[in-house]
Amino acid sequence: MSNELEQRCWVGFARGDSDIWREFIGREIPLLYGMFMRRWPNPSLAEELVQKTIFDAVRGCGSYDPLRGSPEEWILGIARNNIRLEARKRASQPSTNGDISRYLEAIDTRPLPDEVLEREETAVLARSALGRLKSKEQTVLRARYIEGLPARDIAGQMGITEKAVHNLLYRARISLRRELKRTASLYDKGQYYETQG
Amino acid sequence: MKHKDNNLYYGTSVAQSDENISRLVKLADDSNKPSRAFTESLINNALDKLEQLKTARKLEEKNIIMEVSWWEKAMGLAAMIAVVCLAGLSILVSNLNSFFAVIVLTVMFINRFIYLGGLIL
Repeated sequence: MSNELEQRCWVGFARGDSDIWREFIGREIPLLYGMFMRRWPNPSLAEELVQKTIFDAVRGCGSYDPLRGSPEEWILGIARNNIRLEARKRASQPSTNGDISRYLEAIDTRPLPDEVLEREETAVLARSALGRLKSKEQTVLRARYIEGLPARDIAGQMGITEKAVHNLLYRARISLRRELKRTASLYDKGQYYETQG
Repeated sequence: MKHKDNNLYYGTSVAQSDENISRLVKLADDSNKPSRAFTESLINNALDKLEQLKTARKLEEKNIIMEVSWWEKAMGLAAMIAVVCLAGLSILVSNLNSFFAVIVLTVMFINRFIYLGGLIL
């Protein structure tokens, strides 16, 4: 892109031109997501921080000055500021210690702390527990939570009714919870890798 | 009442469990990219917000144009009165012959001087 064209785009960006913003947000979301994931390997938190950063940028659209740099540099500055805020928030909270099974016992009543989700063993346990479910249960959980599809789309993909999707989701959640608790207790007893062969 | 409380607890529990399951299933995903549904929904919500802000800003600008200070209002009123007086005077002068016109204007100027003199003293 020529410099002049780039500058014109930046002015349109500062004015809140919808087309320029649509393209810009679409381009920045994966970059920001990757940036947050590198800092804290936690997809839910990364989504939360991406959302916060994008909305901070939209709200501060009027304060963007094309003379001070590109929109990319500007939004990266906002993202870095959000990382600082998150780090500060974590520093003020008590650290999470203890076995993962203790946190999984309270899965229905308390939110899992981010620090627990970011432990490598939690990701290993989640993958292992999900891998032990029936194929249909895995498919429905991935479609719902990873792809973020609504029940109607999942029903269309799987060739079943919406009600059947809800039932399957319900059963899959129970199975996953059971598998998670079982795998976590094995992990805490140091028997997890023995069972993996 | 108890039943209602139990329902509330059940609802909160299900929501919490669903939230935690969601976070754990996402951990099992190897991809380092956000989902398409998340990206599309975020783009649409952000653009809606942008439009809202643009509309609010336009309304604000309109209000700034309408908001004038008291001295600007006073100056405007004085200018309006001056224009009306000058129009009336020009009609009066055009209907008189030149001798009377000179007399009327001289009397008006003298009156003004006396008035201004009184204000200064």
